[in-house]
Amino acid sequence: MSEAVVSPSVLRMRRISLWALPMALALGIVLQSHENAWEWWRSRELFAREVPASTAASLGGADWKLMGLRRVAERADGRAVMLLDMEAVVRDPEAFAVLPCRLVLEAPDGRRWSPQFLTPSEVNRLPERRGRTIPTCTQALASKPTAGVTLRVSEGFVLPAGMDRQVRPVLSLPAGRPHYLRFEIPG
Amino acid sequence: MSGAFAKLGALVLAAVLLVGMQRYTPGYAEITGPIPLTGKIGETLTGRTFSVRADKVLLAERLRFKAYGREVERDTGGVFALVIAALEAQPASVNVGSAIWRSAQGARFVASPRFQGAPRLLGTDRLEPGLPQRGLVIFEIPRESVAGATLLVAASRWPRLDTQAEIALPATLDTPAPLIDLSELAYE
Repeated sequence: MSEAVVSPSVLRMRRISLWALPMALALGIVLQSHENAWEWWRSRELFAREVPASTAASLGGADWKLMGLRRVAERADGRAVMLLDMEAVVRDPEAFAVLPCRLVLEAPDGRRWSPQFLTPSEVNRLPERRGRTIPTCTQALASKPTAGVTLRVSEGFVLPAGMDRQVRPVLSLPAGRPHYLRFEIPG
Repeated sequence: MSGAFAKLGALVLAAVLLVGMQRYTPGYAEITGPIPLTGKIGETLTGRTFSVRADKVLLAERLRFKAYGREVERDTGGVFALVIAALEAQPASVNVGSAIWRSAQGARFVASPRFQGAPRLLGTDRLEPGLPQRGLVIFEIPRESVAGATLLVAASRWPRLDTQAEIALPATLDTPAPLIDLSELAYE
C-alpha cells in the first residue's frame, strides 16, 4: 500500500482544528457552568472586612454597627448565654430584604456558633428588654423597611464555658457576598 | 495486509473500551453521593461538619420512658436497638438529622419516630462546636437484621457530596433485655 499525499492546505486545516478543539472545549465549559460559578461566588464568604469598634460598615443595603455583645446568663453546665445587639440603618431596601441573614459568633480558631432561641427567663430580666420585642436579623430583613429606617437587631447564642471573651460577631448577607463583616468588640 | 489487521484491531479495541465505559462508568447519583467515613465502635470519626463516636449498642424488647410528664412504654414485634453515641458540630453549628441502621443484608432502617419526647435523643437539637451531645438513637428492627449491621450518620438522609459516617457495629450482640427504662440508662 502506498502512503496518500496530503496537501499543505489540508495539513494546515488539520493543525487549526487540533488547536481549536481545546478552545471549543474550554468555551463549552464556560458556557455551561458560568451560572454555577457565579452562584458559587455569590454564596461564599471570601473577603472579610474588619469593622473597628464603635464604627459602622456598609453591607447588603444597610450600615451595620455593633452595639454590644454581653454574657447575660450561665447555664447549669457552665455554658455561657450571650446576647448580641446590632443596629442597622437601611440604605437600599431592596438589597436589604434579601434573605437569609447569617449572623454568627466566630472564635479565633474558625469555629462558628449560630443564633439560638433563648428562654424568656434568660433575657426578659434585662431592664431594656422588659415589654419590648427586638427582632432577630432575619425578622428585621423580612420586615421590609424603607430607606433611612434605623433597626435594632438582637440575637442570642449559647457558647462553651470560657469562650465568651474570645468570639467576634460576623455578619454575612446574600446581597453583600462574597464580602462579609467581622466586628471588633469595644473595650 | 498487516495494516488492515491493525485497523481491525484498533476498531475492536475501541469497541471494547466503549462497552467497558458504558458498563462501568459510575452514574451521576454515585458520583455525587455520600462521602463515606468508615470506622468502628468506640472510634471518633471527624467529617466535614461534625464528629461522631458510637460507644455501645443495647437491645431490648420493650422500652419505658417519660415524655411530656407521663410514663410511656413501647413494645415491638422485632427488637429495639439503642445506640449510645456522642455527636459534636465542627467547625460550625449544624443539624445532624439522619441516623440509619443498615443491616448486613443491606436493609436500611431510619431512627424510630415512636420516641418523641424521650430524654437525650440525638438528632433533635442542633449541634454546636465545643458542646458535644451524648445520647442515644433508637431503631426498631427485625431480629435477623441485628448481626453485622452498620450505623450511618449524616447531616441529611441522602447526603450529596457530604460526609456519611459508617460505623461497623459489633457482629454479635447480647440477648435483648426484656425491658430498658431510658431514664435509668447509663449514658457515660
